[in-house]
Amino acid sequence: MSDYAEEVEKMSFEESINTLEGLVKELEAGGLDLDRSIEIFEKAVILRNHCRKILDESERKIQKIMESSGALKNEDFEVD
Amino acid sequence: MSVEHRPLMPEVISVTELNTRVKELFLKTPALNDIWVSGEISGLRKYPSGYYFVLKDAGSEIHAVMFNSARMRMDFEPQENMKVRSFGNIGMYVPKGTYQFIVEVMEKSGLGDRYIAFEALKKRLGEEGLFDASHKRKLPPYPRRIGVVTSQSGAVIHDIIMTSASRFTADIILAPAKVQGDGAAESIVEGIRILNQADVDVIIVGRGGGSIEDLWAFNEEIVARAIYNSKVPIVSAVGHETDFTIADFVADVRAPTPTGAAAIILRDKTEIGSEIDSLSARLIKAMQSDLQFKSHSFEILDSKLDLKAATEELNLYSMHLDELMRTADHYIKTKMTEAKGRFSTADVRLRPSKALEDIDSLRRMVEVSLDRLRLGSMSTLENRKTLMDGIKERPDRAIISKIQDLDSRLEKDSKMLDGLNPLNVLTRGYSMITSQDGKVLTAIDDIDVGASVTIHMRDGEADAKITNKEKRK
Repeated sequence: MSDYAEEVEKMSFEESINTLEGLVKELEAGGLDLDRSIEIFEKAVILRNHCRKILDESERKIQKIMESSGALKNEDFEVD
Repeated sequence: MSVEHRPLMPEVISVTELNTRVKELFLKTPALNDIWVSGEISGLRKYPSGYYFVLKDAGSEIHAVMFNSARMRMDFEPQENMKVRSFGNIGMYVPKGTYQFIVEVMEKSGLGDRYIAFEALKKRLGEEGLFDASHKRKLPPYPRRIGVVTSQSGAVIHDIIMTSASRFTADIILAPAKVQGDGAAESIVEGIRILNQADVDVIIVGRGGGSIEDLWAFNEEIVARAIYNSKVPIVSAVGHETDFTIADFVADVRAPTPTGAAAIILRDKTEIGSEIDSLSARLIKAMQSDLQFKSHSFEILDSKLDLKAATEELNLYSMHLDELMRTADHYIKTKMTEAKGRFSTADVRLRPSKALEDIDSLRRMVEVSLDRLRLGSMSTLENRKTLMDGIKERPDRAIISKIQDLDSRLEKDSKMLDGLNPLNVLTRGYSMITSQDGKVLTAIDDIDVGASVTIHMRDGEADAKITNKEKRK
């Protein structure tokens, strides 16, 4: 399952929450064997934690972008 | 003539009362309220409370005042000799007995041409399909990078940064642009172009409120086309809620204000949080009910699978098989006896041991099942269930078919035996001799001289005594 955690780590929020929703729906539909149910549950928990982590993130960049000599340049931007 | 003799007392009012009446008259006269007046500004004086000036045209003039509350909404500085259109009311200043025009909104004159140009461009681009709903792209639900094309110093970027702080976390990339005056349209187009290369998920194009002239860059065709051709979805946020520009019509989404744009693009954190919580709750509920369902099914299976119960069940089958074997054995023996009664050599043809072997192999099959069950090697419940069903059905079916086989084989043998029945031969004139113990005598060596024998004829038997014998050479 740690492989899956690594996989999830690379997922965007959108991807994670969509995957999570898909898994919840699959589990809700029922008819799965026990191994699959447990697998879904474990994956869903990893996805949920990942979503939470991204959501709780507060680090963000505020930059301005300029084009100088044909190349884009970012610099931090402050507002009062 | 004294005052007392006057027939009626004339009404005498104070100056204040007079001017108050005039004021009320002004207020009640629609033609003097909420009107547009065009004229030129003259004698402009700026005071902390507002601007005082005269509005005049070739034939007349009127004092005018624009208080600070109205002045704050202006996006240009009134100047001497400027031609303007002013919206407002006639007001009476009672202490001085003067009336003046109180300006609430002021616009520069000469806007008529712009309106015509705006409508023409809107019609042309609309017909070309630039505003088509089918071209509008959906905004990404959770953008990580938001591009903003606006003035670096204006309130727009400030409002967007502040509003987004409490929402889904995203980087904000500003492409500074000139948003009014000469070259503004080109600058906005450039900002959209740069951000299209900057890996942003969505772009806000906007500026704060202003006169129609100030917003004009957003009505330029090159801006409309840049928005239309942008690969990244664009949200417009131009002016106030009531201002509509061509850019608003082309944009994928029009936000009423810059703050509104940030709110449309980034969902509220709390809202997303409760969505995650609700998914978690659903997950746990689904897992619980899944386990409950499984444990219920398991209990049912378990009662079947309970080792003791299963062993007992299989033992019952085993006993059942024993009984079948005895029955088969008995059946075979009965048939044998029947056959023997007719022809004593029949035992060579019938092979009861073969039938018993068949049943015995069934018994071994059941035992194998029993062993496998004991080993408990079947991983899933489903497999176990299938196996249980198999164990239940298979032996019964197999035994029945074996017995049927056996039965039809015995039937066939009996018929063959009937064909060989020597008694049938007797009707053709032959006799059969048996010894006293019932053995058929077929060779001369079987017979001893002096022995008593029975001669079987078609319709009866006769006893006889052997007096002599001679073997044929």
